[in-house]
Amino acid sequence: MSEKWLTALKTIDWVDPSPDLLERANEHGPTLPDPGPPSRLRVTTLVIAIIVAAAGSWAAFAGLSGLDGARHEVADGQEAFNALWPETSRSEAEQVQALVDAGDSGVQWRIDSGSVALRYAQEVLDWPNPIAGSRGTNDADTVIVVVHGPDASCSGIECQNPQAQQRIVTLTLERLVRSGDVGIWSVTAANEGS
Amino acid sequence: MLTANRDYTALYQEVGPALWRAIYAYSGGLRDVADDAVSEAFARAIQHDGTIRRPQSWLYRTAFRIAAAEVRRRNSQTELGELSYEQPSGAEEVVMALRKLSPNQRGAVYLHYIGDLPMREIASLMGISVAAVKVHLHWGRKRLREILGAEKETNDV
Repeated sequence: MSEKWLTALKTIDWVDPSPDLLERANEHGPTLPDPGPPSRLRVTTLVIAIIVAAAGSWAAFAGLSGLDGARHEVADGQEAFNALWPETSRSEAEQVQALVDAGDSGVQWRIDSGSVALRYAQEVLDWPNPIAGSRGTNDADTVIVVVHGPDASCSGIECQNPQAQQRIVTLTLERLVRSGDVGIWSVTAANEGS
Repeated sequence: MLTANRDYTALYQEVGPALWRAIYAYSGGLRDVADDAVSEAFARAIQHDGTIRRPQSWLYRTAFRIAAAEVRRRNSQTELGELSYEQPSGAEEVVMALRKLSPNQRGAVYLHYIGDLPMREIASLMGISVAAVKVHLHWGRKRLREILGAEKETNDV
């Protein structure tokens, strides 16, 4: 016997979509702006993707082993900013934090560590369907996320490439601009394996 | 009129209504958001015809992303409006209860308990982590129990 709230929830199935949705799609094509990351994040991602592609996809993946954002620190008196992705400078990250604070819908994913890890896998590693699971740490502003891919949804006879779900990367994410729930996450280290 | 190699009529019949109801639940009963997100997702799928390996997953992720942007935009401007169209009997109560949950809680609860999908697939379809799905399910279920369970028991007395 199902619970009462569950029985009630099933009434959603009595609601039907408008009858002309596919017709609208066919006749008008895409009409809404893509709510993806803002353009400067796309540019950053594109630059990283080009670098990764130039090195070769497998070599790029293998090269993740031991990749640590701390290597990006500068020694000329500037404040160190040890992020690998999406931003590689504090000023850029602070601009994104300001957008989050202002309620910009295009960047709210930055305050969800899982979303940041999945986007890293999709946009930098070019994994089409990664999955991610978080591990807690003693520091509330640091999280370890293990990402499986490239196509973790691929299974059974549908999966033409048995290697599709056998790669694992462990990401370290940190809130580098602000602590707490509204602070944006940045990838600070990426290592092959779990 | 865009041309397409894939049979989008068949794909819509297979995926469209369930996707629409998932977005409808996710948006808190906003029919226009569900309509726009689903038709836009199909329009983009048709536009990218031949390049999408798994159209069902792709359509879900795209529609959820579009709906999320619209729900956030509306939430930042004002509260969700009154239900301005006729709901089937019983659905209005559920929609009002769903509005007391966050969008991700609504989406996760609907896909898991009505769509009967495992957490890993929900995470993939909604574009969030499995850990996040677990958290959304826990709190969404708890909240719905508090709202719908208690109200029904009171009415039964």
